[in-house]
Amino acid sequence: MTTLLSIPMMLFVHDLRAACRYPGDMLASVMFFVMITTLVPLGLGPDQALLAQIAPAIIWIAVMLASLPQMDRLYTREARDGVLEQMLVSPAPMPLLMLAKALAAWVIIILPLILSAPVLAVMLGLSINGLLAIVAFLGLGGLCLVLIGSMAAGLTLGSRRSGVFIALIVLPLAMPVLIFGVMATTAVLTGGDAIGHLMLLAALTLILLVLAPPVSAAAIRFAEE
Amino acid sequence: MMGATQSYELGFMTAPRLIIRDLTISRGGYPLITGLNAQLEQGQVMLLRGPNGCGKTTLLRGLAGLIPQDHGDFAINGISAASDHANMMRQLVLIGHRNANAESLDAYHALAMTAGLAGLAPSADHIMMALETFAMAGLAKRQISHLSAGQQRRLALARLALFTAEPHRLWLMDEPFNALDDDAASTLNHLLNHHLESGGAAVISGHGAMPITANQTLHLDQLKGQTQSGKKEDRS
Repeated sequence: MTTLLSIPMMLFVHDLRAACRYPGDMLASVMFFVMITTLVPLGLGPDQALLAQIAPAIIWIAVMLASLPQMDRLYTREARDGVLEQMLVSPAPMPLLMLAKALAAWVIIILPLILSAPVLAVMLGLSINGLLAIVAFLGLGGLCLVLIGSMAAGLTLGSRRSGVFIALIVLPLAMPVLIFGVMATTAVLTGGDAIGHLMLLAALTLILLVLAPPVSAAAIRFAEE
Repeated sequence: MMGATQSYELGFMTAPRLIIRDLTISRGGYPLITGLNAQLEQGQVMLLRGPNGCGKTTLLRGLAGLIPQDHGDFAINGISAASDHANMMRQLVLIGHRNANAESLDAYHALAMTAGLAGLAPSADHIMMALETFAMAGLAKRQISHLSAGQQRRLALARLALFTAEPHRLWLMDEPFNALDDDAASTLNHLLNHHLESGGAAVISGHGAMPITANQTLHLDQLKGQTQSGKKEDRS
């Protein structure tokens, strides 16, 4: 019974350890994120009111785009070196192992982006309230993104142009995340009621938490056959 | 630890390590393994021989539950994948064609991870001892991508040294002697003999000369007959 949780926990820790040995990957996506967000004010001009109005949408879209290249590499290394094969012959249920990997991916891919959001919020003229809201909502929305990404990475495993396919699978599925995320953030900024949108975002996260691990497990089992 | 293992063993005393009944496994629409029947008792080794593409890897991966069978059945220690998947995974160790050393970790942690995935929780000393078995202790902190092919293979095989307390596990090994130098090959042979003396069993694939005396040898190319040429084309 103990292996039910101890093996996924062990995998989570090893994934974080592996990511720490390559901080460059994390840094690259943070730089990409900062770059996208910087380009918008440069292109639009110094209109603070306009920037503050579209800031939530810019940050959400930038997070989606900056995390995509990392989603592409979610399982490629493990497929190549044979770790996926050993995961499939593990006594632990494969969906739980996939969940552990998705949670590790959240820490590795999404968390650095969230931590760099405050700098950008200042640049885009966001208030403290808006900043706190965007960090909290990005945390939740980011979990949705990695769960969708884990499904897409599993489904495209072994295909040659996985990068393009991943974008084609992730972006449409992530549209509800973007819509509710931006609406909730905007509601906080304009003093409106964010609870409704936040509830929908939370519901989406719960659905994906249940749905994504078995789907990516099945996809990987099929790819490794 | 030993007590637990022994009582665990008692339940399977009468069950052979491996029973294969009328097993058929296909790849890409062609049956590679057809109607295979075999049985492996405690302390026995089964060698899988045959030319490239004859189904050695397919059979090994099928026995590890990675490839579904068309029909037929097999059981390890009396447990089949259909009856209890998680429990069957506790009855085997798979040394696949790929080494399963996580590329982005060092040797020590890569070994800890593969052992952990198999359900073991070895201590640091135990892991170092396993590394030392294949003269890898000095490379514990070396990153996997900086190890040679032979060193990576030795690291994958060092995993076997962590399973000495669980001799009931069936060792499924895909060409384990490839890329090994003489010292490593004799170490592997020593580990294998110890495993067999403890009542374990193994299914090993390979070609050419292998330093093992097999109790059974399956020549996979002779089992199937005419469809062979079609299959070879499919695999190439």
